[in-house]
Amino acid sequence: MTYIQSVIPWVPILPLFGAIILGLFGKKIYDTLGENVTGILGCLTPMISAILAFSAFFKMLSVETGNRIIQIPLTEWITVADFQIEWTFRYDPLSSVMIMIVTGIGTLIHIYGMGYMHKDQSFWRFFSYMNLFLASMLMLVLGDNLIMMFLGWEGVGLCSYLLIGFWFSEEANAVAGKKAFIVNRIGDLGFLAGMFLMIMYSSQLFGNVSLSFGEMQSRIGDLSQVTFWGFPLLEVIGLCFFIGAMGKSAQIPLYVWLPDAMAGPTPVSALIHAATMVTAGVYMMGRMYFLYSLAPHVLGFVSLIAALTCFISATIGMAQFDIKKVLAYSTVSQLGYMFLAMSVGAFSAGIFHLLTHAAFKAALFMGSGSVIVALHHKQDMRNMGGLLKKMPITGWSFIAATFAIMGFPLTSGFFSKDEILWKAFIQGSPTLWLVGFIAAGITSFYMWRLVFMTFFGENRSDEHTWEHCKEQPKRTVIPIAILAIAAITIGFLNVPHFLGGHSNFTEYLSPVVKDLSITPAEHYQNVLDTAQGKVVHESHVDHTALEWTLMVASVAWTFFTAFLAWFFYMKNPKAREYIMSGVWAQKIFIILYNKYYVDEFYEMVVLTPIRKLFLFLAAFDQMVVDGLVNFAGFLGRHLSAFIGLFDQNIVDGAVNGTAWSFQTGGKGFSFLQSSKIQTVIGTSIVIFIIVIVSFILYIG
Amino acid sequence: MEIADLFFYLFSVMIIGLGGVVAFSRNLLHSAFALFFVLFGVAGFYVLLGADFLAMVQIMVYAGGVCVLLIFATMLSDNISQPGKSNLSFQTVLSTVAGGGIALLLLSAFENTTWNVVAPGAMEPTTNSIGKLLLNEYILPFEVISFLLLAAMVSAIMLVKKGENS
Amino acid sequence: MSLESYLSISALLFAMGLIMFISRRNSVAILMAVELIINAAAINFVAFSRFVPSAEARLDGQVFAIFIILLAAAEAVVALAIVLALYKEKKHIQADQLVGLHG
Repeated sequence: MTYIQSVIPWVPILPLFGAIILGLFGKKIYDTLGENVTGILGCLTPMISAILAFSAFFKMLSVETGNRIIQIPLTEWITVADFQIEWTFRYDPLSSVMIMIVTGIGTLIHIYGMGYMHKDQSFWRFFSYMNLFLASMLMLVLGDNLIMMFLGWEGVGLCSYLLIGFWFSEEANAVAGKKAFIVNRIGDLGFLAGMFLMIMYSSQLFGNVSLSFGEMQSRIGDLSQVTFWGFPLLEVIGLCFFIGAMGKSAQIPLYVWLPDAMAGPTPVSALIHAATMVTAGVYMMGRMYFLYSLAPHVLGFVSLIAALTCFISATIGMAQFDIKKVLAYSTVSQLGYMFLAMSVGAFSAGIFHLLTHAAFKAALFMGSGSVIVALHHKQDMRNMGGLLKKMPITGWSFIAATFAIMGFPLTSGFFSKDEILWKAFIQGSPTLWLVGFIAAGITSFYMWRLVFMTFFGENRSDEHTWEHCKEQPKRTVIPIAILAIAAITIGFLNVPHFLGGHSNFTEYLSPVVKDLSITPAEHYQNVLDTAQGKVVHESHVDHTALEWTLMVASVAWTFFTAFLAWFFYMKNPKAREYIMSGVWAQKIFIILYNKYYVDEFYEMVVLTPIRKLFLFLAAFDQMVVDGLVNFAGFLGRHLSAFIGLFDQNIVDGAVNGTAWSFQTGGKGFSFLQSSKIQTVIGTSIVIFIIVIVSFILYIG
Repeated sequence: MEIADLFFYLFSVMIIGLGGVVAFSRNLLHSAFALFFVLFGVAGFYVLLGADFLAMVQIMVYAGGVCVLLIFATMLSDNISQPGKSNLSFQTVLSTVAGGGIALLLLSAFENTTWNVVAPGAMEPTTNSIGKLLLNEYILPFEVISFLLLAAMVSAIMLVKKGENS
Repeated sequence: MSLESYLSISALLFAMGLIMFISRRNSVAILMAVELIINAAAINFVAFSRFVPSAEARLDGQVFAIFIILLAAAEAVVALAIVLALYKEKKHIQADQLVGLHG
C-alpha cells in the first residue's frame, strides 16, 4: 500500500462526506453555529482533498514513468456472470492533472463562495451541493471504468441542475435548470448507447467485460476489425461517446443550455460551467484517445463541430451585453478549441488548454461575480464602467486573465492556444487553422470589449449604486488574485520545443495520452498498413519557421482586434456608433444579439411540432373518436328506436337483463379496487383459501 | 375427568363465547369488555400449558394494559351510542366466507397432520429459565424489543401531542 | 388435553378475529380484531412448546409468546395514538371512509 494508493480514495470520499453532513445537518449547523462555521465546514473537505491531490502528484513525480498508472481497487460492484464491474480508482498522469484542477480550483471557488453567498438563506444548501459536485466530478475523473465514469457523469449533471436552479423560486432559473438537464439527457443517451455497444461486442468477442480503460485499450485492436451495420464499430462507438460529450461540453447543436445555465450563482458558473464539468467531454475523449485514434471519420466530424462551435459562439459573444453571457459564450468557444485539438489528434494539447482555460476562465467568472455583487446583482455591461478605480484587485486580476485568454505572449493562453492552432494547421487542415485563428481574434475583441465596458471609461450606473460600489472582502478577491496569477504563469508548464522548452506537460501525460503525430486518417492508414505487415515511414520535416510564422500571425491578429476593441469602446465610441448605424451592421448585430435565433429555431423545429402533435392528438380524440362514438350512439339510438317499436317486450327484457348483469358484475368487481384495507385483505384471504384448497384437491 | 380438563373447557367456553361477543357485538364497549375476559381466558390456557410466567405477563400487559387502553380509546373516540353503524353490511358475506374458510382449512389441517407429540413433563416454574434465556440467547431481540417499545412510546406521545397543537 | 384441542380453539379465535377485522368499520374494533388474531397465534406457540418441544430449547415457544405480547403492546399504543389523532382530525374513525391515500 503506497502513499498514493492510501490517499487517493479519500480525495472523492471527503467531499462526499461534506455533502452528506451539510445536506443532513446543514440547516441545524447554520442556525446554531452561524454562517462562518457552515462555510468553513464546506471549504474544509475540498481543501483537504486538494492537499491530498497535490501531495499525491508530487509523490507521482518521483515514480518512474513506466509505473505511473496506479489502479486502486476498492471492492466489487456489479458481478453478473462475465460482466464484472469493480470500484476501482485509476490514478495516472491524466487523472492526477484533472483532480488537481478540480480540487484546486474547487477549493478556491468554495472560499470565494463564502463571500459571494454571504447572507443567502440557503447558504448551507449551496455548500452541500458544491461538495456533492466535487465528489461526483472526482469520481468521474478517477473512475477506472466506464460505469464509474458514467456515475460521476450523471452526478455532475445532477449537481449542475440543482445549482443552476439554486434560486428556484424564480421561474427563469428553474426553467434554465430543466433545460440544462434535458439537453444533457440527450447527450447521455449517446454515452449510454456507446457503452452498451462496447459491452455487447466485448462480451461477444472476449467472453467477459469489465469496461476498465486498461482492458478496453488492450482490446481495441480486435474491436477495430468489427463492423456494426456496415460501419466500423469504433467509429459508431466513438460517435456515440462524442454525442455524450456534445451535451456535457456544450458543443453545437447541444450548446444552448450553457448560456442559460448562467442563471445559477456565479461561483457555480465558475466551477461547474467553466472550469470543470463542461470539460468532462474533453477529458473523456482524452481518456479514450486509443479509441478515437482508430476512428478518423469521427474525428473529422468532431473537427467540423468544434470549428463551428468555436467560431459561432465567439461571434455571438461579441454582441452580448450581459457580462456572464459573454463569458458563457466564450466558454463554449474555448471548449470548441479543446475539441479542435482532440479532433486533430493533439490530445495532450486539448488537455493542456483544459488546464489553462480552467484557470483563466474561473478567474474571469469570479471577477465578474465580484463585479455583479458590488453592483447589487446588475449584470448589464451597459450600466457599468470605470470600476477599476473602485475595485482594483478584482479589476487587475480580471485584466490579467483577459491577457491570458487573448493569448498575450508568455501567458498561459498563449502557449495552449498556439499549440492547438499549430496542430490544427499541421495535422488537420489550413481551413481548421483559419477558423481557429479568426475565432482567436474575435475572442480577443469581445474580451477587451468586456474589460473596457466594465472597468474603464465613464461610470454608467446610477448614483446610488456607484456610491455603494466597493471592493469585495478578502475571501472573495484573494481566490481571484491567486487564479489570475495562475492564469498568467501556468503556461510555462508546457513550453513547446521551438521556443526552447521541453513540452513538459505533454511528456508527463505521455504514458496515458499519446498524441497522433500525423493526421487521423493517415494514422488509421498506418495502423492498417502495420496490421498488413507493410513498413510505415513517418516523415520528419523541420517546421520551426512555419511555427514561428503562424505564432507571430496570431499574436499580431489578436493585438489588432484588441486594438479595435480599444478604438471602438474607449477611444472613439462615435466611430462605433457610425458603423453600427449602417443597415447591414445593424442586421448582423441583431442576428448575433439574438444568438442566430437558435433557441427560436429549436422552438420552431422541435418544441412546436411536439406541442402541435399533442394538440392534434387531442383534437383527433375530440373530433374523430368522439365523432365515431357519437355517430355510433346516433345510429344505435335510431336503430333501437326503430326496433324498439317492433319488439319492445321481447328484447327489452334481454337488454335490461344484460345491462343488469354488467351493472351488478361491475359493482361486484369495483370493490376490489376500493383501496379499503379490509376488503383487500378479505379478498386476498378468500383467494388464498381457494388456491390452497384447489392445490390440495388437484395436486396434493 | 381431571380437574385440569374441566378448567380447559371453562376457558374454552370463555374464549370462544366471549370471543364471539367481541367479534359480533354491535356495541363496541361490550366488545372491549368481552375482549378483557377473552384475554383472561388465554392467560388461563397459558397456565394449563405450564407457562406460569407468561400467564402473568398476559394478564398484566394485555388485560391490564392493552385492554384498558382499548376501552379508553373506545370511550374517547367514537359515538358508541350508535352501534348500528359499527358493521359493514356488504362485507359481512366476504368476512364470513374468509373466516369460515380459514377456520375449516386450519381445522382440517390440524386433523390431517401427525404431530410428534412428546409426553408433557411435569410442570415447573419457568420464570427463572425464561429470564436466563432472555438475557443470554435472546439478548439481541430483547434489546431490539426494548428499543421498539421506547420508540412506540415516544411516537405515541408525539402523535397525540401533534394533534393537540393543531 | 391434547394438542389438537388447543389448536382448534386458537383456530376458531383466529377465524373470529379475521371476521371481525374484515367486517367492522370502526378502527378501534379493527384493533381489537388484531389483538384476537395475535392471541390465537400466541396460544399456538405456547401449545407447541408444551407438546412438541425441541430437546435443547424447551422454552423457545414461550419466549416467542413474550415477544409477541410486547410487540402487540407496542402496536396497540401506536395504533391507538393514531386513532385518537385521526379522531381529532376527522371527527370519525370509520375505516371504510379513511381512503385519503386512494388517488
